[in-house]
Amino acid sequence: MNYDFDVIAMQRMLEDRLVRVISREEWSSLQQRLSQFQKEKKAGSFNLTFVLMPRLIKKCIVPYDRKSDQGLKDIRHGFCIQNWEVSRLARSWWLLHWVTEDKIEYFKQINSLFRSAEVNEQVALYGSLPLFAYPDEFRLCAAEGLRTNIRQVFESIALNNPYPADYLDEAAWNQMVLKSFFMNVAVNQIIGLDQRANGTLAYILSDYAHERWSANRSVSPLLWRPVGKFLDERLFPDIEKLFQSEHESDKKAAALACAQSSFQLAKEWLQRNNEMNEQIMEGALTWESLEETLLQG
Amino acid sequence: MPNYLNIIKGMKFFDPHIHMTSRTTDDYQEMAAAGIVALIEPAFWLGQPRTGVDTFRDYYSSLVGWERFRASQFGIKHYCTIGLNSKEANNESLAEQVLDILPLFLLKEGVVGVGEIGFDDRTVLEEKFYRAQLELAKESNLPVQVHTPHRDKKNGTIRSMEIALEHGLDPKMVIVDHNNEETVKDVLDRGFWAGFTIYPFTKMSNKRMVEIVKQYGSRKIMVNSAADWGISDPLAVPKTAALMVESGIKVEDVLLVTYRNAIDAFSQSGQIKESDFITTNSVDQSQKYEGSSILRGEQNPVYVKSSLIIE
Repeated sequence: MNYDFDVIAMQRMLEDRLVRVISREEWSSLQQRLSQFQKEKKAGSFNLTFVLMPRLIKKCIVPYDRKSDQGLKDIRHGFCIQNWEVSRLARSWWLLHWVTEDKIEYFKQINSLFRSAEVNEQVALYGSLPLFAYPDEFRLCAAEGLRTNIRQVFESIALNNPYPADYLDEAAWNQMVLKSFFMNVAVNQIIGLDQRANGTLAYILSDYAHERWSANRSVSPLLWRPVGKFLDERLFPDIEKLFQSEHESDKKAAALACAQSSFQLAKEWLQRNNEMNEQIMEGALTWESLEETLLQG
Repeated sequence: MPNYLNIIKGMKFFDPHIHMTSRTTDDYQEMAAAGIVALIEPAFWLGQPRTGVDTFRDYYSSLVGWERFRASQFGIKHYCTIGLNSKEANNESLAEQVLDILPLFLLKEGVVGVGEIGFDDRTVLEEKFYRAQLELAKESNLPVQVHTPHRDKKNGTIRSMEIALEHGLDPKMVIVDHNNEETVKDVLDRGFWAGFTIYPFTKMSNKRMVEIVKQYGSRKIMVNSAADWGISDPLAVPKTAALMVESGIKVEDVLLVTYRNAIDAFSQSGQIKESDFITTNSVDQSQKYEGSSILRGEQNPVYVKSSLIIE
């Protein structure tokens, strides 16, 4: 097996989601294409079906299904299809059928799809990164994708996708997190944001905040989430600045950052501001709840 | 606000031939303000010859990728046609390789035809690859956007149509572009769509265009800008519409030649849904505001160019 998960189980699970959304005719046309491909193993027909997917099946968002979503996560840790368009799901499913015996051939084939991909195809391909065989081989491909300025494409890698946390090296990971703040995407949806936080990233984010402050631009309170654990003499003044902020959300972010920290000054501050401390302890104030108030505000 | 915008206020336009790759974001902003809601970017010659198949591949993928995204930032729906242009058909070995990768792109979402293809110098190689691409269009059931030559235009136009008919293409699937007073009758009589490029100095002027619509009516005629890297005008379609309205042409007819006919012709690809651009006429602020390099960070989504202060 060249996959790091149970590929047969994944195929079945995705099929199950597909047949519940698309019509019987659409499903049987996909089946037909699949059996023809499995007979002939021709790259041309594989590519064509991948490209044609939006014409073969209806357009809609795959309905949410908690149990099945959990099932997907159980098969491939962290894999998530939240808000996926059905042709994106079908493309992921289709990609699971390319032959994997020869590593070089496999990479060449997937790479050729990347090279000619339009926007929705890019989204489908990058969203499928955690489902590829030889996942190690796609690190550079993921890092390349993160250089995009096309928002949907960036989000397909950075958000709700376990691949970056699993496979990107620290530099590429840090770059992704920084760019997520720069592009103002929903950073709480970055899988592994807390686990892969690191001291270097904390300094990078602090520098970024200073740049924004000097330009009189706002800084997302969520920026301090990956920083909290690494508070030290250099970073704590940033947190103190947040305490002085006129915005309640900045103060909350400061408190949440302090709660993650073992730095003495941070702990002392929390003790002095018992109300927020209690909210954090009770789970009433979290980074997620902070994000929600930001979205409402 | 320029005066002519008042005349066409509330009207929507579709520019079926414009090379946005060669244009700036200022153009997108002004086009959106003038009522252009959708456009077609035909693959063309970038001003100097390409030397390898990979640069063609990257160009085609930018038409279905980056440029499409860039347009969406301004609330404009971007479609394209994909093809090997006539000038570069003259490099035979490269043209062969390009022909091999065309099918990879032709059936992608938002690709509404094969184009722009046809004659430049009317060489043997131009004809060879024009014919090959007509076959591709037939196989993939896509409309064809035909470029007609600057020199010896009338004969070149007629020859292009004859060849298309020889290959069994239905004239209603073929848009013959860059027409003028000399070619329009032949094109319409044969049942092809007639495109007119309003382009300063070298092609049609919009005053002449007004006369053509007065004489030939609005059936199967469409106006485009073909704006590119030369001195050209991305607002040619709305400006021509304004001149037509001012000259007493009925608004229904203006709408046909600056919007509806292009949609009817190219939606035969199955890839144009009018609802995609008439309902999303207003820009998605979340996309526009929060993302790209074009409108990064805090930049005001509507940039006021006349202001001294840049922030």
